[in-house]
Parts: sequence; structure tokens; C-alpha cells
Amino acid sequence: MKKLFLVAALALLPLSGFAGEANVKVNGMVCGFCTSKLEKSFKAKDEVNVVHVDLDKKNVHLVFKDQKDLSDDEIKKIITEAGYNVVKVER
Amino acid sequence: MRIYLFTLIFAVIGFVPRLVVAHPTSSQGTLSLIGEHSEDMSHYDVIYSLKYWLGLGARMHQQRYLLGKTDVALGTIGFLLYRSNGEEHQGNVYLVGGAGNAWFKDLDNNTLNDDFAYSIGIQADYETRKIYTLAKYENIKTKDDVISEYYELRAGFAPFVAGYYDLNAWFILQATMDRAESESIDLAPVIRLFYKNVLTEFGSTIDGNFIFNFMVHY
Repeated sequence: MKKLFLVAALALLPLSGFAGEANVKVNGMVCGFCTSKLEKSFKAKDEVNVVHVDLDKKNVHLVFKDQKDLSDDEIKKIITEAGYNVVKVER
Repeated sequence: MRIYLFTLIFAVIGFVPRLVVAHPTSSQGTLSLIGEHSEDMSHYDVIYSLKYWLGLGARMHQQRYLLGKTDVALGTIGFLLYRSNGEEHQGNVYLVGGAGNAWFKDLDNNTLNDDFAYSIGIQADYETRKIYTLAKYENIKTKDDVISEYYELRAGFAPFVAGYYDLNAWFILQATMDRAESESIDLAPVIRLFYKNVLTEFGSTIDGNFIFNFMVHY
């Protein structure tokens, strides 16, 4: 019986709505006015649910939609095209 | 919608932003509306940033004199020559240029003559979340005339360090000179406020000329 529950739980896991996140450390983000386009660019991506820019921590926090994700390279491309430097992407 | 309405209102009443507040390029895909309005000149720019280091745009410039005025229409290009992105700072050096036409007019708006016009300039800025500095030179010329030869220095500080989702405030002192008009330097304290993609500045020169700058990134 326990095995049956375990198998059912594993089978249902992909349907449970996994939402991934990423923290991106960015250099050059000192001005909120100039950074606003960065937030807009991420919000325009279909994969992204929430964008939070933290100038204190020099960090962009991304929450992805269920079952969706942006690769590190895609994240770096968006930030580089906005004129900033990516220090690291943490998952 | 409110931002568009806000921009339209300011455009209609003529209090449009001054180029000095602007980076000649912005993040890729950004449309910037900027300009200037003062007693002796008006200045309007629309810039689209194809890349964060390359902006193409159009400018309308009007210089007013006692006995007439000069209208200038230019296609412009802004190029980010150098950028330093640090953990606590950003520094930039830009080259700007333009080419178009100038119309020399009398007080009744009759064109006396016109000529090919061009502009060239350089701008450097450095800022952290607490300090801001800028140096700029730009001229607008025809073959025979100097329409504008503009110098500007700015230094400012933030009285408090605001977050991205807060209203940001800056106190700035600016010194400007247009040698095409006079050799005198205009000093002006300016207050800058911005929230996300909307920026405004207001202040006054020591001799009482009001300054109002406004800029929006779309």
C-alpha cells in the first residue's frame, strides 16, 4: 500500500507546479532609472512570472512560471544587452 | 497610460526635458524622449537604442536671438565609447554626432537662408548610488556659423540611498556655458527626482532662469 502511494506521488510530481527561481548578481546597477529597462525586458519574457530588482544587493531575482525556465545564457544575454555585467547566476 | 499622458501634457506645454540629463544611448530596444526648453532655446530629441552602445535619433533645435532665430533639424547618432560596470559604480564615455539642416529666420519666421548643419560632442559621466558627476561638450555648426557651443559640468549627491522601488532624490549643482551666445557661466542648483522609468529635474540658474527637465524611457 505504501509503495502504491509512493508511486502515485512520484507520478503526480510533474503536475504539482514546480516554479524555479534564479538570483543574478549584476555589476553596474547603480541607478534605478537606468535599470528599469532590465526589469521590463525580463517581464516581457513568457517564462518569467516575477522580477525583483535589488540595488542594495546588486541582484535581480527571477521567479519562473510553472514548468518554465530561462537558461543561464538567456539570462546573461538579456542583462548584457541592457549594458550591464553578469557576475554570477545562482539557482 | 498615465506615463503617456504625463509626457503628452509636458510636450504640449513646452516643458520638455533637457538633453543634459540623458545618456545618448540606453538599454537595447529603449525609446527615449528627451529635450530642453529655456528662454533662448528649445531642444527636442527622440532616440532609439539599437544596442546599448548605439542610439539613433532625431533632433529639433531652435536657438532664439534678439533679431531672429535658427531652426535646426538633425539625424543623430550616439555611441558608447567606454563603459565601466563596477559593483558600486558605473562610468560612461559617449560620442554624439548629427547631420541635417539649419534655417536662419527673422522675427517674422521668414527664412533668410539655410545651410547644411552638423553637430559633434562628447559626454562622460560617473555615478554611484550616492554621487553623480557629468562633463559634456557639444556643438552645432554650419559651414559659416556656430549655432551652439555648449559646455556643461555637473556634480550631485543623493541625500538618502533609495531602492529600485522607491522615489529617488538627488541634489545637483550644474555649470553651463554656450560660447555661441556668451562666455558667461550659468550656475544652477537642480533637484532630480525619478521613479523607475520616469525622471524629472527642476531648478533655477542664479540669475533666475527656470530649469525643468523631463525624461522617459519606454
